[in-house]
Amino acid sequence: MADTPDNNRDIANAQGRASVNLREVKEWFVREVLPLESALIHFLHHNWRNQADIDDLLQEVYMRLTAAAQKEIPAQTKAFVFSTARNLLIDRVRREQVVPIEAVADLDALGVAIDEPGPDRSVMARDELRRVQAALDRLPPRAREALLLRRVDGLSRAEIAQRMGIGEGTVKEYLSESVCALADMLYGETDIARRRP
Amino acid sequence: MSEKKVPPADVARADAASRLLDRQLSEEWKEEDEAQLENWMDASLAHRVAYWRLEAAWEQTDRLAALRRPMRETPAQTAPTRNWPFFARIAAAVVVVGALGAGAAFYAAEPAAKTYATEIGGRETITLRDGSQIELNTDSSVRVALSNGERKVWLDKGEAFFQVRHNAKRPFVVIASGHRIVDIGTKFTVRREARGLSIAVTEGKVKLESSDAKLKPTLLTAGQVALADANSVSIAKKPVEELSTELKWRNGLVEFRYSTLAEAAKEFNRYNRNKLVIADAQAAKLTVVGTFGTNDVDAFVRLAQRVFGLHVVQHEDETVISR
Repeated sequence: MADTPDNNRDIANAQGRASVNLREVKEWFVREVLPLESALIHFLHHNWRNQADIDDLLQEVYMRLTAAAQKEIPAQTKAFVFSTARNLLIDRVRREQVVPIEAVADLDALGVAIDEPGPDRSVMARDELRRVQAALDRLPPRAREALLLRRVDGLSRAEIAQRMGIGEGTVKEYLSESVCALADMLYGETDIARRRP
Repeated sequence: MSEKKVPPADVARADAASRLLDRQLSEEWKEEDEAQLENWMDASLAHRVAYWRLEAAWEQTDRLAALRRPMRETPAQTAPTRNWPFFARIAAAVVVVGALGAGAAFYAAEPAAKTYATEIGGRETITLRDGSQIELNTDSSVRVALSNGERKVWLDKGEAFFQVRHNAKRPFVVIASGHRIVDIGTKFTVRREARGLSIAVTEGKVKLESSDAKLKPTLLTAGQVALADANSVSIAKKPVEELSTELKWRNGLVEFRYSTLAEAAKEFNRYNRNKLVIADAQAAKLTVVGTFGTNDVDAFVRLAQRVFGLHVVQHEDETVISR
């Protein structure tokens, strides 16, 4: 879905005024925003009629967050993430008139849940470990094999190709597939099944 | 204002995956490659966030449990992995003896001392009346005596992390293995090991003295790690990142950075009653990288089995691993 010019201008302005360095923004994004992805997807699913838009909406929320964080890293990440998502949906409703405005009317009610303290970090860390292990087990076998040969055994692309009896291009495809699936399982998975192609 | 086109999410994502893998798989990543990647990310925030997200997932696989087996005929194996700083490899040497009752503690007569202890696999935080905190690791014990003039803690066994409310009029002293560690406003960890007493300071300063005044008092500052035995003290400076690796137990985790399988087993054995036994010398030398729950020995064993192809036999009180 192409973005509207207005929005691009916001982002371009934000970049022009950037005062936080990108490394910090990235650290914040990985540490605080990505763990909220499944909750965010959940939120979008519940508040947007056209489910085919979810990936693009998610991308746009991330873009807005990143643009804002370049000016200043938000103090309350969780609240900020959800109010950004909410504003995006409202903007979309107004501009594109694709859903009646009532569809997002009860977004404020959802704000209540936003103020809950985040999960305990140590619990999260342990949880993540289990999730990475579980996610690995669920990769398609060939893709997993390529990933393990790379990450565990440290083999080069050519060595992996040789060992698996495939071309180097296929090695890259397998690894791309692995990393995309892992990211979805680690960050994006909710009880609602994802519909990635 | 130029109008930038935002790519659809699936396009940005496929593109990001391709670029991430080019970078990860390239044998020689040059400056111009990096510049090109930066340009691409500058072109749209959509590119940037898609890349960050996938890169974070990719890095998780390293953090997980990269168990490395020495591969006989692949030279690539010996090359150090990208992204692992040199000191990470040194950390592997920092290991782990569940200082069991060895050298049964010398109990000085102290009337009001209160004892706190943890069992194998246990962990406990004690908040003292003065607001200071002691976090006890597995199989550890301390005695605490607070008086108006002084706060004394004997570390009789194991390992403890101290966060001290500083009070110059009422020094906080940790006594262990014939040494005194006097707080000067600080956070530090003390561990009794077979080879001596290890003290790591994460914040502030401490003074290290030997109880019999044989050794000259030494001031330790944040980032310093001292290893003290009866006759000597050696001090090393460590990066904060590495210190935090060693303090992972405070969150119920152990992290291995290029430890041998034998070292990893020893570390797990501090936390678990069912002991890991590495039955052959070759398997013991395999290198391990990864983070685990201190009592999640099963996950570790499963990975060892799967990745190294090792043979595992479970007994009631031990798990024997061999080739």
